[in-house]
Amino acid sequence: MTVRPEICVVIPILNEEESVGPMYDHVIKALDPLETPFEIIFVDDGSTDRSFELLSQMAKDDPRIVVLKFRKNAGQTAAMMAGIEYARGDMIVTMDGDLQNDPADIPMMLAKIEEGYDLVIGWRMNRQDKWLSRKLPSMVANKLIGKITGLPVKDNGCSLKVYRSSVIKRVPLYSDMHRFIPAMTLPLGARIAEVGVRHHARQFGVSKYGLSRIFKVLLDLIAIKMLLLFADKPIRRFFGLAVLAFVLTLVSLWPLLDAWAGDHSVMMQTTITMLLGSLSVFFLLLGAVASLVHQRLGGVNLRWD
Amino acid sequence: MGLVGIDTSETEAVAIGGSPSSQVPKLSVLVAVDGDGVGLEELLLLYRDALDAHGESYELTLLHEAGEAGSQKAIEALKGNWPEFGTLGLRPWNGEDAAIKMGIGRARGEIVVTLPSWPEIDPGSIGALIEAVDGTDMAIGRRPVRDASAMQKLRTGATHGLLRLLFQHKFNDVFCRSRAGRKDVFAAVTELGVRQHFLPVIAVSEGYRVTEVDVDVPSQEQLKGIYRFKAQAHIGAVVDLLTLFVGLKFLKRPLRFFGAIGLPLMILGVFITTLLVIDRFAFGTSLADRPALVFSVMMVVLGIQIVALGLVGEIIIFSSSRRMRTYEIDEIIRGRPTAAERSAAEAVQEAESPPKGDDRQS
Repeated sequence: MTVRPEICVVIPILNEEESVGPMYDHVIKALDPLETPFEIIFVDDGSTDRSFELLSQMAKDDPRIVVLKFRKNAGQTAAMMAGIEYARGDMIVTMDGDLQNDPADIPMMLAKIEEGYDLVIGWRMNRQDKWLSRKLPSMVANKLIGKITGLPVKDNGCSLKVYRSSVIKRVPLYSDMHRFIPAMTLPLGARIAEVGVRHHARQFGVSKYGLSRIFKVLLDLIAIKMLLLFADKPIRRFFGLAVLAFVLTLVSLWPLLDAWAGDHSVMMQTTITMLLGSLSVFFLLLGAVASLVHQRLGGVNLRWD
Repeated sequence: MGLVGIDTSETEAVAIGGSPSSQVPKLSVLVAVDGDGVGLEELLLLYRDALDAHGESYELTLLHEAGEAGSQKAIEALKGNWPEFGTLGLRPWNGEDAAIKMGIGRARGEIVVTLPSWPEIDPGSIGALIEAVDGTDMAIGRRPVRDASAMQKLRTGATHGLLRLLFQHKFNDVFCRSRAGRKDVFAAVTELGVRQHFLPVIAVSEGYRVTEVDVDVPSQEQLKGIYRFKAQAHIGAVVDLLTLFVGLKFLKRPLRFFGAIGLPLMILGVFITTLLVIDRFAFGTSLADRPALVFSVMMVVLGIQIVALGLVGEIIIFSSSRRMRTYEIDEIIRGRPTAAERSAAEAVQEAESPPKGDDRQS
């Protein structure tokens, strides 16, 4: 039997054979002086290079290493989710496996969380990335995420974060939602701090992200906002939308609108009224279905209670 | 999780025969009867010769519609003198796909072999399929280019082209139903409930290794009973393929799928409506006789409805996200503690645990 670790470092790995060794060394160098039991959970997200072989070798030499190997690539969120589910410690640290995050920042972030926070988010101060393809989309995305979710985080894309296990294990993670973890903890009433961290340019391998992620992030952002709005009490929200559509239906019937539109056309007005009216009924029915499904699945408790 | 939702729970199954010994066979061969059973007995005897020649212990289960006269005749002829032969009569008969799923559920061997009830491959090639499972998760037959009409070749080519386009899988003969694979792999991929043509597609998408194995076609005298895909079967296969694509790609992120359709529609509708309103105010063009307004409002309404449907899908996934894992862990490696660490841990445990006999003393 081994001592239960207090800190668990979760590192998703995808084709990072050159980075896994140095990454391990850096994490050990950063955490050993803390004299607190820790473990490093490497999640091999379907690597096709020698990453898993090297990690397995490392695990033979160090009992603090755990390697979870995925059968196929499932994405960074799934890798983080697996690591978080497997983690046993009270504190969970997540970071990228490509050496861009600096493990030397972890002790500082752990000290910050000890101040009473539930989540400490890293913010890459001197980001070593191309401005046009990486920094600019990131800046726009962060602004947008801040506006839409109501949580103005400077750097949602930084994977280096420290969580209290009791908080992060309650956040339902799926799809590519790892970027929105801070927003997802909002309904839980989590106390969040943001600290500046170092950032290094990628030394080995290639980036796993392209510009195509912008569209995905946008749709995920809409999803997360809607979930935060709707998932708790879907019937109430859909009923609100149904009322709104009904009001629009009444407005479209308004005689003044007919006058404003120009020549009188009953056909046109009737068609638009019917469309809006059907939307109202659609929302009502959809709300009922959503509520039914929500109840059947047990719902998601987004609060502490 | 079920795309098509083949429900076998209500199916009445009557099992007859099968391997009489308690010894678990290495292979479970499943033959689902499609059709009236003409030539079935002869075909099964050819399968028997091939399986006996291969040498591994096996059980062959004939999955058939209970009471169907053609297959019943073949069963009567075979059941007395073939110890490895067993049958599973199903009623109602929900099709080959449901039968295969049920057969896999009852299979005892670690390797499952599925064979069609018509002469699809030369039975002598069955051994090659089974042997290929050694280095892979599933092996499927690849028949040489067959004697088929130009139209049939076109349909088959188009379906395989679509398969490549949607999944980037390079199968040459996905419709070959002669397959062998690990039982757990078959069990996992039949969970989706789609038609059995695409079991290899699902297997690859789920991260399993699938290998195509060259097989021979039956000899000329066996060819008379060969099954040919009809046009409607190919149309059905394309519909299945599209269902599978949407299911595998977007089942766990419905708002991405619905949003990608609904949002552009909604944005375009809002844009056109705005243009029409500007036109009305700036240039005084009457809106009353412009069908474009109805069209644009309809686009907005339709867009909103599609996004809303996606939202409900997302709520379902969100609500069940803890139950629906999006990853499959293949292996867990935990670092082994050194001897010194083990004894230190034991010392800590001993110090923390109450001394023996505490209960009695207190």
